[in-house]
Amino acid sequence: MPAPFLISKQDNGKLSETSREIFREQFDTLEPGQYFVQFKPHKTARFTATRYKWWFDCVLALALPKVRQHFGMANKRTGEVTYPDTVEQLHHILKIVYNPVTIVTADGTGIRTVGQSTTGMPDKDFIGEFAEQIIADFSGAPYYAFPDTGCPDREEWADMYNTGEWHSFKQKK
Amino acid sequence: MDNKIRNLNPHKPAVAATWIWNERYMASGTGAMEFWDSLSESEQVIARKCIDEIYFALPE
Repeated sequence: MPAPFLISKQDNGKLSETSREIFREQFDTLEPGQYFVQFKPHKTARFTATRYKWWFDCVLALALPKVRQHFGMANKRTGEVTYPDTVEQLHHILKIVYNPVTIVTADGTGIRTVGQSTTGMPDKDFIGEFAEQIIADFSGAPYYAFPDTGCPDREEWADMYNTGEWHSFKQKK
Repeated sequence: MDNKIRNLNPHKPAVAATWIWNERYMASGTGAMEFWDSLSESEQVIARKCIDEIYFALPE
């Protein structure tokens, strides 16, 4: 039977090479049959703020309640309008608004604008342009998404996380 | 010392404790040093013992 094991999902959404090896090793120990698997989060004492952890857990989590009503998604077929409920949905919308790419078919028809992935962006572009522009926009009217002290940057957020303050800070907003 | 500064600079047994009792550490919503303070004397002994054993063990 496999032993408990620790894996890491990276900022690019993929498992690290070591984690993949651990998974492979653990699966190899299994007999054929059905298994119930449950993932449990693990918190380390020294937390490093990677850009996506900060982006989703800090920037988007603080902004979501204040900005969601400004980003309705209309279903063209049914006309139904829904609003983002999760930070992942909000991120998807922000990619379309702030990092769009237009797809043009060979005959010039079927033009679509979609959100381009941000995973390939270097930190300089992601934090310095994409994130900074959104934080600036969300800081003012009509959103006023962040507390008076502003949106915590990565270092401030990591410090709050390491000192245990982040959870209560997030709850208060 | 201010708890915030202490939590940013946890000592070795405190870090070990966050791994040994990780679910409790997560549920506590505190930093590593405040979690350390919340442990019983016997739990702190376990964490110190863990660090001592690692210190005297051979490198991998």
